[in-house]
Amino acid sequence: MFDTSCQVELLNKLVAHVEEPRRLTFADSHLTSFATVHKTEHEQKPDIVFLHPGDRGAGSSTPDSTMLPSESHHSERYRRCAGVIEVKAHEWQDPIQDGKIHATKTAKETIAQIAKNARSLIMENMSCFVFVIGIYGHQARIYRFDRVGAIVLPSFNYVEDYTILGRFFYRLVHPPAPATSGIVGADHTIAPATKEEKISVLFKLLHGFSYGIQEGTMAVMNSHRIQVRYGNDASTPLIPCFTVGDCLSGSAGLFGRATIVWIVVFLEREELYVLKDSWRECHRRAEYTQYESLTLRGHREPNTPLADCVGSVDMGKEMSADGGYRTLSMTPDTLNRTRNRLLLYPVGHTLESFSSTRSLVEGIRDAVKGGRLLYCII
Amino acid sequence: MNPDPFVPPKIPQPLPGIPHDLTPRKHKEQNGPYVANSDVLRPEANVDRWVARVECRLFVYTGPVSEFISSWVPSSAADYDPPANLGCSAVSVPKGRAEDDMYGPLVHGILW
Repeated sequence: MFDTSCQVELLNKLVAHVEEPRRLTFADSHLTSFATVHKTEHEQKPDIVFLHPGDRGAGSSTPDSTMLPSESHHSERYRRCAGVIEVKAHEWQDPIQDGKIHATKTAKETIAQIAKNARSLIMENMSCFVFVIGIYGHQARIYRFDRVGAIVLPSFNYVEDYTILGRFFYRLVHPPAPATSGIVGADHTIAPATKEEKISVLFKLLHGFSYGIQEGTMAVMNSHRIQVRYGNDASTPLIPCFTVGDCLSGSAGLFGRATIVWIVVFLEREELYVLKDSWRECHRRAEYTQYESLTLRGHREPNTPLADCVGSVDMGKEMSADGGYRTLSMTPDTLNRTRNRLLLYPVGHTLESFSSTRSLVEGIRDAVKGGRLLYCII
Repeated sequence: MNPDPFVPPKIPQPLPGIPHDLTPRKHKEQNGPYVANSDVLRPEANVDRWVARVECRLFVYTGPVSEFISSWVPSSAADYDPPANLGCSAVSVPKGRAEDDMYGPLVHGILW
């Protein structure tokens, strides 16, 4: 941990010629505590952060940045960051030697630090992939993390050949179509709801779902607009739904399915739904096909204790390959993951909200029955 | 005679002349996440866990740097045009000096 002002100055000059709405801002953050997404872990102090395009830092708010709500113990600081740079003074502190992680304690701590930063960035921003940069003396490395692995660039001298980092940051703020703003790796199908949209959602909750004014206001405060398909036909276009309240559950891991679940509402429909966003391994069956099989095989009776899958989208299959909705880090390709969204109905109760022990036990019984139907009978 | 389930069992008293064993009975070994004295929460263990997760999933790109940026940072941007006036003399990162000269004063606070 040391003064990184010279690096910050260099980096800000590197992007100074980029047009204003897309320009990144680099800031020295080595004295700023960033709470990690997992409450059992220590806070982090990344050396340098680059804020999302348009965020000038130092108190400027980012109401329109592509960030999602999270539980109260989560840090909001990572949400303002497009990426993180960890700086070490010497070249020998590079944790990767001869193509693999060096077996020293320092190297391990450095890699863990970089991986934790990547996890916090990818989770708080709901990105498809993120970049973390390591600076070791005059050498630098770019790490690209997605939900299955990381690709690392060989180290290069960023002082002598500063155009490498310049080109990297320039491309970073010009994501491929259809995204028109944000950064490469961000999910352009998720965005914070506008003020007008929040009012519409609040009105819907008050009049359609018996929400109180206080409860409804809290529920829409961090509402986000997420594109999803109502129906399972790939030709049906994606439509926006809006999250209600904090996520019901979310995985805190860097690699894996990274499942996150919300309650959502459509402005045109009269029900609440559950939206499940996850990264499925490409060799596994799509989840909605299991729900379809139940109906086709006649296991779907009126009192079957199982939610209906009323919508699904396989983003990795349907969206542009450049969007990052399908991971690329693993070989063989079948081990890569594709981003899926599943729309379920009806919304259940949380275990804490059951009125009696009997209903709690019935709920658990139904969950077991539903699980057997989905994964054992088929 | 079967013990009455509603009558609390008598607490065995130490026999006269024999010291009563007051050491608590050992608990059975459990499979649950018992963490009070375990290594799980030690920082070193945390780091090792992270490294173990990342190690088998981290791949060092072997091609040229420009190719990496072209293929792994997809972009709608045209070719990058570096800023004209950005020489290293324009910034505070010195060039062509020994690394210790550059970072020495900064590192001093950490190592000594």
